[in-house]
Amino acid sequence: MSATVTLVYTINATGQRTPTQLAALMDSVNVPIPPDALTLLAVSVTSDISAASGTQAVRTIVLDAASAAFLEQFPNDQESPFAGLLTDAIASYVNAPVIETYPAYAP
Amino acid sequence: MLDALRQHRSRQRVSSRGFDPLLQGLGYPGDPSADMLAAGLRVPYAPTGSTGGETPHVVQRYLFQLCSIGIGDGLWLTSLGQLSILGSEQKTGTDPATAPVFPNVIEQTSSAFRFADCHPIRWGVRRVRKPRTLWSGRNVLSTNSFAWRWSDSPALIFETAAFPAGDLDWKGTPDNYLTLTDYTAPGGGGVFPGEAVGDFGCFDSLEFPWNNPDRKAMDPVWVRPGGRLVFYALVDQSNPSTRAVQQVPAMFPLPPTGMPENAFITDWTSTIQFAVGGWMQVEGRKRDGGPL
Repeated sequence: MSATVTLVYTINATGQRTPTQLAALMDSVNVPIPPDALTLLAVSVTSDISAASGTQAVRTIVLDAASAAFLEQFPNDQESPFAGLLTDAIASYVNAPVIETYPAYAP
Repeated sequence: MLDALRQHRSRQRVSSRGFDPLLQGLGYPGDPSADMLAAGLRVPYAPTGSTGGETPHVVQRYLFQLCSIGIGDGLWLTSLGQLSILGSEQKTGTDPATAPVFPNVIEQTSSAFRFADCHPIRWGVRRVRKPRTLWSGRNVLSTNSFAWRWSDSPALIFETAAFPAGDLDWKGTPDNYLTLTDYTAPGGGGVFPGEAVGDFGCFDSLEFPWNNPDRKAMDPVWVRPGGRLVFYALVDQSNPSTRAVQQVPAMFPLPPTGMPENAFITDWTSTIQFAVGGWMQVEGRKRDGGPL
């Protein structure tokens, strides 16, 4: 059985930093997912990609949420635990407002 | 006696400082001292200007609370400053992924300048009773320097607004307010809240240019106790695609464009109202001049 949670963070490039530069600033090296969060939520990272798209920089994280421990903790709502996970961290590191898409759970 | 009065004077100056998306990403990454604030408040892109032949994108003028201060037991308004910046955000290349944006701006210095399709900026110093039960955080559209009905800090205030879906996060909050597609001002639009302060309740000229210290002097105006003193601006936004273009005679022997603002617009035709700002200087002393 597989299940994933997808997190999407977007920055509209409006200044000196280009979408390519912003994508590099907001990537997994500069703004990593806290390992403790992964442990506590019982999920693992399937993919974590930052890329420029038009005038935007987009970071897309796919988490493996198929573990029994995860479903045991969150039997009814598998999305809200991830809301806002990296929004402030990216915004403060990059110094730019971040548009967060609501986490999407796909069982 | 004079020395005693001077000792009891408290002089304060408040000014506009607002969110500017052009500052995003500047500074060393992670620097906690980096912010996105600059002098003045940015004006949204959506045009309000109209020559009558077309419907503007936004019908009402943008209502800015440039700066404000609590009046307390009364105070004297001793000086004002006005800031109007024209300009545009220039893409410096054709590939959006690698093209930075250049802020191409000029400060307005000509009192007579206005865009062909816009009213001049309307300014107003008002004594306002702050709404008691409202605060901007209650509206999901409120974001940096963009507040619903009232703000204690400099902001564009709104009654209703709309944004492209792509600029909203899952809560419905925009990343910045410049991209709004619809806007109405509190109070029905087109009017300043509160009561006029002296002769400065509503005026349309650049009487107190930000960059000209010789033109900031004024007779101090007494502001009676209670409420807040607010410097407002009602601002039109120009539409570069529909406004009239200046015609320059080919034989004109002198620098042909007159005002520097018009010369700037002739060179950079996408110029719009970029930002607006204001400051107030007040002194805390009694109406008769004595210390509070």
